[in-house]
Amino acid sequence: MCTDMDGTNYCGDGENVVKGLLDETYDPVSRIALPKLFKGKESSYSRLRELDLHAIWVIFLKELHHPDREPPKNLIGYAILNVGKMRRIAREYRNPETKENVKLEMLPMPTDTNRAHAVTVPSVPSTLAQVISSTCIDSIGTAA
Amino acid sequence: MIAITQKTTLLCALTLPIGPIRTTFTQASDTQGKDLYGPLRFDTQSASGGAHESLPVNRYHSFSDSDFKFGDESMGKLSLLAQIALGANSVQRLSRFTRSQVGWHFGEGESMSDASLQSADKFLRQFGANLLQAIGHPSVFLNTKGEVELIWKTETAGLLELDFRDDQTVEYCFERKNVESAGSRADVYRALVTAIQ
Repeated sequence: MCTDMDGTNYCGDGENVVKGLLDETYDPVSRIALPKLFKGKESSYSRLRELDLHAIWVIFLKELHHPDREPPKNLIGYAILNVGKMRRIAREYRNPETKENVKLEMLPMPTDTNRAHAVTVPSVPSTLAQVISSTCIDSIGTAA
Repeated sequence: MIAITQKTTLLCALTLPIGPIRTTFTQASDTQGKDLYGPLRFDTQSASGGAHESLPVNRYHSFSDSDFKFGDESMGKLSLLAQIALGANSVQRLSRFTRSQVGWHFGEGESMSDASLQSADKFLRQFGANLLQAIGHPSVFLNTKGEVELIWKTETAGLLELDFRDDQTVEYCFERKNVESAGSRADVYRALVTAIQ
């Protein structure tokens, strides 16, 4: 855990986080994860330091997996990302409009149902979300 | 310069009234690039090894404009050319997305916009053959506004994202170029060609 100057605790560079992949946000044939998964304010992740992958997968199944809907919303896998790599990519990135980089942080934000829950701050722009999607995913697991 | 040669051959494993065909997309090379945006000419050949059958352009149009309904019958239609450019996986994904109802994304999310689908169809009919040769099939996604998104993953340009808006403009976001903008379908195609060069 890292502590910022204002006293906020952020996830450290060594932490890995998990993102659930639904069939609407991940195409297993092209292996493209929709960049919008990583875009915007407070994109959700789960920290492997708090819960193991199996426990997080069970939470994803409860919260994300709805095969009974029309069309079915199927949880088909998960992506593991390293926080340090995401921060480094964001530091090297230049916003096309402002020409500034992004001081990306992973802020722990436990919920009643997921104590491993964390969110990215500040807002992630589209082009940075693309870079995260294409270069920051260390591994992808798919449901058996 | 996009590597578009005199002739691009595409095998189409599709069963049409005239049987399995091999369609040859023909476009004049143009070092200035301007003809890249013009309409393609088509010759259709029998894939069975028999005598090649050259179809006149108006006959080609008679089946390119035949509509392949998929998903919800009330939804829009996707032309054969667009289906070829998308590939089987993306056509299947798109067909699934047509069934999305309001609130499909955890309470948010519009159902698929017919205007957006038709805009994507027009784009693929016009430029899909060139893009297929240059960067392959795109993947398809649906955003929460109900708009169709096409994404290519390329070695040289990274992720290339097109978002077909209801108003017939296209929003684009190109990873390696680090650019995000919007324009007409033709403008966006030009930007796409520049990005992959």
